[in-house]
Amino acid sequence: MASDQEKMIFQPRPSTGWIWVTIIGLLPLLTGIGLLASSGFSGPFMLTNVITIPIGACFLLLASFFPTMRYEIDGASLSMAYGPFLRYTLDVRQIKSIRRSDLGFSPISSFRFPGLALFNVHYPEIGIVKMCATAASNGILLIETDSTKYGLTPENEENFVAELRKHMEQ
Amino acid sequence: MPGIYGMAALTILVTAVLSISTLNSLTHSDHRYYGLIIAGLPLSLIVNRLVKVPLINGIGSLAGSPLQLGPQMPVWFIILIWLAAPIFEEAIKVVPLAIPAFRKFQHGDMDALCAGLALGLGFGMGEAAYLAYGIAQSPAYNQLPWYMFTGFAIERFIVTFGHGLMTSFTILGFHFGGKRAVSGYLAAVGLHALINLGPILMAIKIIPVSLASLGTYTTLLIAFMIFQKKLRAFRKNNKSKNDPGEKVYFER
Repeated sequence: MASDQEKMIFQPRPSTGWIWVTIIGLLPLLTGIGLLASSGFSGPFMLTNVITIPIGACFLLLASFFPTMRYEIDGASLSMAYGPFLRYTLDVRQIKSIRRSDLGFSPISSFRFPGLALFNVHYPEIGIVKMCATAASNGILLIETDSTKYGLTPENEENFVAELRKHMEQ
Repeated sequence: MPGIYGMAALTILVTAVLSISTLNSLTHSDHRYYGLIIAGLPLSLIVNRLVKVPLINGIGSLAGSPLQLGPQMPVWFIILIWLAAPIFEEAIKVVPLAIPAFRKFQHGDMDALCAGLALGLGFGMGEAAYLAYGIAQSPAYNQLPWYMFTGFAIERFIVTFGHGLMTSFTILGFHFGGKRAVSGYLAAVGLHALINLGPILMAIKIIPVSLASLGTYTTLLIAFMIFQKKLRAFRKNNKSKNDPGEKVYFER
C-alpha cells in the first residue's frame, strides 16, 4: 500500500489467474501458428489463422498486464484499474452498500477465469457486475451504487474498507 | 521421436498446473489431494490394457465382427464399444478410495467432491499420455511435428477437466452411500456416455465432426454447471467462524 497525499493505492489479492489467461491465449495462438507453418499464407486455413492468432495475442496481452491491477482511493473517488484496458471510477458518496460475497456461476459469456475477472460479468441473483478482481466468484467485495455494482478483491480487505469508509464520511 | 510426445508433454504439464491451481482454490491449498491426482494417473492404462481392449477384442473375435469402428459393424457391438468406456472407466476411477489412506476423503461432502475432481484429473492426464502413445504408433501421425497436434492438446485439456467433474459425482454418491452411491455412479456413466456419443456417431458416419464436438462440449458445460451448483450448496452448509462467507460492511 502506498500513499501520495490523500491518494491511497491498494493491491489486489494474489492469484494465478494470469496463468489461465496465458494458457487460453496460447492455445489459439499455437493453433494458428501451427496451421500457418504447415499450410503457409495461401493455404485453406487462412481464415482460421486470421481469427485465432489475434484472439490468442489479445489474451496474452491481457495476461501481461496482470501485475498492473490496483485500486485507488483519492479524495471522494474510488478507481479500479487494469492496465490501459479498464478503469472504473466512482464517487464514494454514492456507495449504498459494501459486502463480501461468494458469487455463483452464470453460463453467459464473460471475461472470468479462476483467479481473474474483468469487465462486465453476469452473476445469477445479482445481475451484471463490473469486475476488476483476482477471483471470479470467491470472496468478492461487492460495492453497490444506485446504478452499478462493482466487484473487487483487495489484498487487505479490512484496511481497504476502513479507508473507503473514512473517505465516504468526509 | 514422434512429435505427438512433445505436445502431450506440454499438454499434461499445462493441465497439471491448472489442475493444482484449481484444487488449491477449492481446498485452501490442501496438499493431500495431490496424492489422489497421482493415484489417478495409471488408471487409464490399466483399464484400457486389462479390461476394455481384451473385452472388445474377445467379443469381436467370438462374434466374427470387424474391430474397426464403422457403419459395417453390428449395432449391438457399436453400443458395446460406446458403453464400455463409461462403465469401466467410471468404475476404476473410484478404486483408489479403497486405499485406507484415501478413505478420509469421504468424510465430508466438500472433501468427497474435491477428491473425485482430483482423481478424475489424474485419470485424464494419464489418458492423454496413453492416447499419445497410441497415436505415436500410427504411421499416418508419427512423422508430424509437435505443433500439428494442437487439436489433441485442446481436446485433452478440456476432457481432463470433464473426467474430474464426472468422478466428483461418483465419489459424492459414494460419500452419501446407499442408493445415492448407485445413482452417483450412473450419473457419471450417463454423462460420460453422452460425451462419447458424438465421436461414436461421427465414426460410423452418421453426423459430421462439428456436430460431434458440439454435443461433447455441451454435455461438459452441463456437467460443469451441476458441479458448480453442488459446490455452492456445500459451501453454504460448511460456513465456519473463520470463513463466514457473506459479510456486510456497510449498508445505506
